Amino acid sequence: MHEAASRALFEEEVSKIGPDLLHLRGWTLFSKEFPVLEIGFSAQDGARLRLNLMCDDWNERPPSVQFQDWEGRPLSAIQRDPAGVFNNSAHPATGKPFVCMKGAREYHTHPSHIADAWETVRGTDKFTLGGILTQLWHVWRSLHK
Amino acid sequence: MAEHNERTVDVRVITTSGVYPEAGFETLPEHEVVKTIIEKANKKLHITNTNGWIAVVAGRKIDINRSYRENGLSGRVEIDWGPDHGAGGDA
Repeated sequence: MHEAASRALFEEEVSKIGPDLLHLRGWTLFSKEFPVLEIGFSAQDGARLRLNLMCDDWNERPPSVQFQDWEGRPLSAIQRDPAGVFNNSAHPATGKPFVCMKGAREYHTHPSHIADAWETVRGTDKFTLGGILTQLWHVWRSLHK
Repeated sequence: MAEHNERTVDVRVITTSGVYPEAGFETLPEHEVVKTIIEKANKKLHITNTNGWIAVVAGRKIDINRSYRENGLSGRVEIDWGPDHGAGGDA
């Protein structure tokens, strides 16, 4: 995908993640400068998680999602959720914990899911950048209220 | 529009595609089903496929096929509307 088109789509989608939504969900917006979208989740129990979505080539490819601490350092371990989306094993490509869910680059490039093509969900409402983040947020909410 | 003396709620729908209504809240009768404003929001915000989406109010999942009253909602209601968590891949 041409970078200008990728950037335009990224900026259009990110512009809709407005202050009302951030406030309602308790999200912190760290970065929305193409190609990086960084959002922090905060829970009432004090737990926090920062997600770095590398959106180069959006939406020809899904974002690469990295778990980070609040200061932006990559996490070497993550609490696993009941659904198994937050996968604590080392991804073959990154060697780090990864998001094992449709919509994350690490899922679609994992040897176990290589046949589950991004193209089958790409462009649907559930798999916009906001949709992917919302799914991850609900995973987070299943661990932290 | 709510009728005179009818109990009402002030509602808005918040999504990652935008907010409905764009400003303020819609005042609706308590007995109206939540789905009505969800459908209006979907149309206005150009959301076409909501299979697997959930509505959450104050951290609690609600049933959009029931009324505000049946969902125990009153006053100002902010509906967080979006896809539920995805399924893990067991990698």
